[in-house]
Amino acid sequence: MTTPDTSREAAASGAQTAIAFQGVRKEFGNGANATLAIESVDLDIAEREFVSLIGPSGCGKSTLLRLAADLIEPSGGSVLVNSKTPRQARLDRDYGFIFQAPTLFDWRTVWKNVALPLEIMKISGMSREKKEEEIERLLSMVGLDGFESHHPYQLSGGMQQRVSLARALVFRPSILLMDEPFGALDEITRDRMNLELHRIWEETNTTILFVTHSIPEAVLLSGRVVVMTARPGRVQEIIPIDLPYPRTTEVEESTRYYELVTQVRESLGTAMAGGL
Amino acid sequence: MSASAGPEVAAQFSARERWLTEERAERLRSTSARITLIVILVALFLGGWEFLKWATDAPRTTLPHFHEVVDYLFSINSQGDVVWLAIGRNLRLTFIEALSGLSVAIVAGFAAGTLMALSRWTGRGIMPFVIGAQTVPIVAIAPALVIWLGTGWETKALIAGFLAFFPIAVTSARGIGDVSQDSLDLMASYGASRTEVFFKLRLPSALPYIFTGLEVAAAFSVIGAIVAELPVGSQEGIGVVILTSQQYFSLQPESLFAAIGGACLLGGAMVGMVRIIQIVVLRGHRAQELS
Repeated sequence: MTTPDTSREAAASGAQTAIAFQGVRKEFGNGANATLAIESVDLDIAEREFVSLIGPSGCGKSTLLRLAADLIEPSGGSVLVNSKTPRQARLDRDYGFIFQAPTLFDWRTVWKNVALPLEIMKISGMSREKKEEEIERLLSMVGLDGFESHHPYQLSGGMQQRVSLARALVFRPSILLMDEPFGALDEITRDRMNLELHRIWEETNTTILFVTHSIPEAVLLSGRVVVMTARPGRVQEIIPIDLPYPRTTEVEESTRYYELVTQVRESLGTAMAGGL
Repeated sequence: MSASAGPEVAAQFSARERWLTEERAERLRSTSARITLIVILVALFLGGWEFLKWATDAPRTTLPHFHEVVDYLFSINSQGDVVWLAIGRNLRLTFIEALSGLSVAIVAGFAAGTLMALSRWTGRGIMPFVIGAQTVPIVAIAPALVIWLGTGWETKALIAGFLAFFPIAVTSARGIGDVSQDSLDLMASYGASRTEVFFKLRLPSALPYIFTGLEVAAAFSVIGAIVAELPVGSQEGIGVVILTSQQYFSLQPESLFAAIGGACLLGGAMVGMVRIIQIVVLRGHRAQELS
């Protein structure tokens, strides 16, 4: 149970890169009003890796995520997703994006919210029955059996975010981009969601790039934690997390876990001092 | 999950059942409360009417008793028609005028609103006309329009539609434009086309707004149709009945009150119709639950 997963380590150090940032720079606005959000960011994320981005507010964590998602374009440098341009990756539906707000459509039931990506994407070789099976499987995976015909506003915040997770997984993207997905949840729900997310990550072979404000969350979930500096955001330090898998509450109570949390906190302290 | 989730899922289930029962009870409570409210309002109205008559000692030629108006409805008029049937015939024409106008306004208003929300250049081109349409005192120019276009029902439908256009255009523009950046990003992440974004995101999220405008528009369309019937020359319609009743008020005061009541009923029916369509179309919308 507690031995490190060797195949995962192999994957982390292996040849396949899921997301590659190379000398990435992003400016918002133009002329005198331009703000430099991130500068010269180099970061490779391997397939099946779980990487957290952490840093002070405004350090450009979300910007990096949105660059990978092709929701914004870099001002300089290059971003590759599955060795393709982010645009191509977006059109190929290589990634699922999860926002801090669940962003569910109120007029759709839970079931229909999860079905939304399938309605839009023409996924070849997926019959109607197969799709329905998949939706059912995912809803039960995120613990929402019996809530299919509920509307989002009838669910708690945690349940809504689970719907959004199921919706992101339904078309089986190889990458999940998560922008503080549990940031708005209370701590107890958040802890449980973290462990569930980790379990789902192990089950589904996805690569996860995870933006968070929470140091314990970053350490608990990740294979590596990327600490970023204040604006303009740069990579301050990449801290490998050598905790055993699977990550459970026991891991959270280990001494090594506390050491790593302290290490990330200190690194973050330096990063923030640099920005002041 | 499977082992640890058992009690939790059970708890969620019972919470859900409790929620369903509460909702049913709530619905029942609100229905009976509504009926009670209507009964009280009607009683207040009739009481107020009769009190006013008693307190001011008004003669029949100023304010008849309510029961005199009711009696009049079942009497035979000078043309040998039962009064309420004759009023009904006129109401039907006004209804057709208002409904035709409203239908055109829905199509035109929705199209204009969509353009204003989505197309920067066409939208900016249309905007002054929409605002302009709102500031034109249509009630004042209705007589001129009747002179130019004749006293046919089409003229009245046009004026009704003109009044109904603005609320629909504005609420459509607002609703279609008002979607969160996250929702748009989500659709973009699926590689959704503009058409898909429109039909799966913008339109459904705009519907509660549009129905709010539609309710106002429905009431406006009746007002527009009645106003359009007032200028000399029209032969039929509830507006004509109101005008004629006013001329013969001292002889038959009940007639005007009957006509006014009919006009109110028509307005109410028009808005009620929109409400019913709204309830059917907006099943599951959050705004629906909250209203």
